[in-house]
Amino acid sequence: MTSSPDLLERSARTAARLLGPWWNERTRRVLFAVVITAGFVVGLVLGLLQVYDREVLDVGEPRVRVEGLTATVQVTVRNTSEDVAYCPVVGVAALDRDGLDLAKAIALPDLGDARLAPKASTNFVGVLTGISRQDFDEQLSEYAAFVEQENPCP
Amino acid sequence: MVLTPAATERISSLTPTLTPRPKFHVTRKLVGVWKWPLVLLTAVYTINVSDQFLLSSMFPLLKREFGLSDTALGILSGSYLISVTLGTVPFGALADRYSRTRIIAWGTAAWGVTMIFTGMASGFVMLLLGRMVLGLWDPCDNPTSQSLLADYYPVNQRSKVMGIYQMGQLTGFFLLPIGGLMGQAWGWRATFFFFALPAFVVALLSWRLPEPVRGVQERRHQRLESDERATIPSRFQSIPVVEAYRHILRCRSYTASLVSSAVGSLFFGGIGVWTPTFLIRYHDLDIAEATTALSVVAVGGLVGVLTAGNLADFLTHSGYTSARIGVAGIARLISAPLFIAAFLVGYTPLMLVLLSFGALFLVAAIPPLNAARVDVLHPDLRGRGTSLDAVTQSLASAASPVIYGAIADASDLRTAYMVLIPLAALAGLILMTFALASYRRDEQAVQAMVRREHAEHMAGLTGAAPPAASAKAVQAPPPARPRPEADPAGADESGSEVQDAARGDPLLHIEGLDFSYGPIQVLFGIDMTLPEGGCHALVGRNGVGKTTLLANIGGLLHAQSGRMFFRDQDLVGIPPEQRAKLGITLMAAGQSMFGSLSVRDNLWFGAYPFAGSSSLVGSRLEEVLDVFPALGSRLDQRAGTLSGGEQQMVALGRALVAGPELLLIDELSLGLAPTVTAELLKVVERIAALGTTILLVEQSIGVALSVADSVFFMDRGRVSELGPAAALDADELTRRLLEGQQ
Repeated sequence: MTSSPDLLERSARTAARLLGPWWNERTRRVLFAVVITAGFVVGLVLGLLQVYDREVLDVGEPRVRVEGLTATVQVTVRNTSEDVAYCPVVGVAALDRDGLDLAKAIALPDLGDARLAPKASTNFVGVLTGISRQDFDEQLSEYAAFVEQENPCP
Repeated sequence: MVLTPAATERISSLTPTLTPRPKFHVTRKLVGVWKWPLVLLTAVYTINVSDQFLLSSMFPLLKREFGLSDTALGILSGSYLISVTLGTVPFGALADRYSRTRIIAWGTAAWGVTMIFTGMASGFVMLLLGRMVLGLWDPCDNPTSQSLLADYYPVNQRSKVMGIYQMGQLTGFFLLPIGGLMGQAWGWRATFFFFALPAFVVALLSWRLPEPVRGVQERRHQRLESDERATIPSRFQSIPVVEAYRHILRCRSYTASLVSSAVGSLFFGGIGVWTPTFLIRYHDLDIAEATTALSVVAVGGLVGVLTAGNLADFLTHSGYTSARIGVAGIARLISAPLFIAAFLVGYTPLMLVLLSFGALFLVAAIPPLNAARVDVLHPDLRGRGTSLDAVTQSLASAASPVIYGAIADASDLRTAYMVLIPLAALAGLILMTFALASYRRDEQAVQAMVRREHAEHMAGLTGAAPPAASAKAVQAPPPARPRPEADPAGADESGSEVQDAARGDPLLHIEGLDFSYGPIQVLFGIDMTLPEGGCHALVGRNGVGKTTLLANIGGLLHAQSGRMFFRDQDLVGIPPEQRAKLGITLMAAGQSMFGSLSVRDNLWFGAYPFAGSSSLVGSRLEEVLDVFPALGSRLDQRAGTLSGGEQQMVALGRALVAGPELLLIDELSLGLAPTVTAELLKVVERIAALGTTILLVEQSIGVALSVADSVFFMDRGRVSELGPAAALDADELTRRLLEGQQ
């Protein structure tokens, strides 16, 4: 009926010996309560901080015009800062169904330079090329725009 | 002839009323059980599944923030899958050894902590570490929960339970879009933080779940009485891991289901990945339409999961003892032509309908198969068995999209489907051949192991010697026990638990059986346990309910209340033809045979349970003619022209052709000369010696005592056990019988 203890049993015994007599049901319960409480509180606080911690440069929804296998993506970027001007580098990309890039390009301001004064908005335009016909038809899922670098203006 | 109303009423009051069978609750998911553990474990499953694809939906955000290459993202995905595979086996071993509720509680809490850690990642290395550790915690729930559910819920509702549990996986997938929206609105970190929160809640609730004793439902199912909180030791609790897996793989129906799932996964592992491409390529849908269409198909899977569990339990309840394997096998077989049709048709709506039904049948196989897999594994091996299956399926599912891609590159995508869909049929075929043939035997072997361990445990508590029963005892009926010696203490001490265990496993157990013919109650709370093997007599005066009791056991009448178990099978609601297939055969009183038919045809009628196999019927007939050589020369003679004794032989022979495990004989000696009766009794002894358990109803005390090992006494609708026949005095018994004393 009985056999020599296997690796699992030996590990459990060694762990119990190392932990000593204080490792009992009561300490396990206390530790679990601490992990649960701390985990929940930390997760909630960090989550809420993320919700209220907005990016200073707000990137709008990309607008797309497709001609053949070329997609032109335009996006509005708004500086939400009250007092700092930014000179951002903005990128656009075509994404496949797994969220991976099919094509990627740097978007440039359609008017003037890339300087975004406090509370100002500018349109950036990028041209995506090099996507195959098959990828265009079967893989291309969405277009994305993003701030590559925020770059506060000197 | 015109009957007066009074006469009509009198006749109807004497006519047996077949009361309706208790209905099986198809629509109610679980009857009379505590549902909270199932709800909670399903929620744990949902949470653990929800993160499986969460990372990929965050890829664009992660790329932008960390500047990751596509290769780096691929490593993140792959490392997670490797960790899940590595973590599954240890968690399976832990689930068989330690408190399962604590494993789930700690595992889920650790999962939540790791999600927060991942959300705080400052670079690729932290992300990678987070994903790998997360993958290790992920499998804390699946093998553990299935083992727990098997011990929380009754054996006869196991498929239903697994069906509801399986919904957790589908619900987890439906949470994915929510994660995507959260990521868009609040960033990927917030998504990880918020997804971690419910894990802490369910971890806390899991901690508070009571830990059921392993195998408690098997003991309840077999009505083995003991302290349900007591852990009954088994040899599997301390055997090394390798030996445990060796034992698991020796279980033929388990191995067949393992192979079937792996083969099936090679096909359906790639469906989710490649079907949107197929819809775009062959049906001119755009990507959004294809993705939406696929989610509609997933609803078919949800329906399949919920209905198949119910159906399998219903069929098992109706007497199809291997229905769990049968439903799973047939579902996979049916899914194959539906998928082939779906991927051949050009009309998109029809394709989607066929695809939905294909998915319905494909997913329908999962709950009954999970239940069957648990059924055939010892309660102390279920965690390891389930984890092994999970690993096999993961590996096959991971390989599947690659195989689709390779075939599509070599030919085209439609060809890939046509090549791989037959694997679903092959998976079903494996179940219908290998698993179906051995499931019942494997399941009964587990039940027998639990019985033996229970008996050893009880014997240890009372200091009595444990019984020598073994698992094989269930597969092959034991030889007839030698006639017990006269017990000087008399018959009154025969009812103790230890003696019950020592004299063999109960074959038939009746509890509180009430039966009425209309307003006239005949059986009053019958309690009776019939051990396996030997001949047992039921004696009593005329009209006390002996024949009615036999008709209830045979399924010709249905009791208004009470329970009846044949081995582990609940007989309530099972029709007579199914009881015959289970091994219960009733030989009615008074030369019950078809007088106008030949002896051969009469015998053929008894072969009903083997109607599909003429070779088996032939061999059974030969065995019967060995027992009754006198019938051999009269096979073509009309049965009605035989003598009374020969007619009784035909009736007995017909009952024997069915190969019963329990033979119910009503009034064997009725209307026969003593010399003929003596000849028939020799045959009855021989049948018992061949391993068939016999319950013989007799008015003649002399006949009963001359052949029976033990005697039950019936009077005024109640049964009491008198004990070994050798210890009884025929004259005293006759006097009690005439006076109606018990």
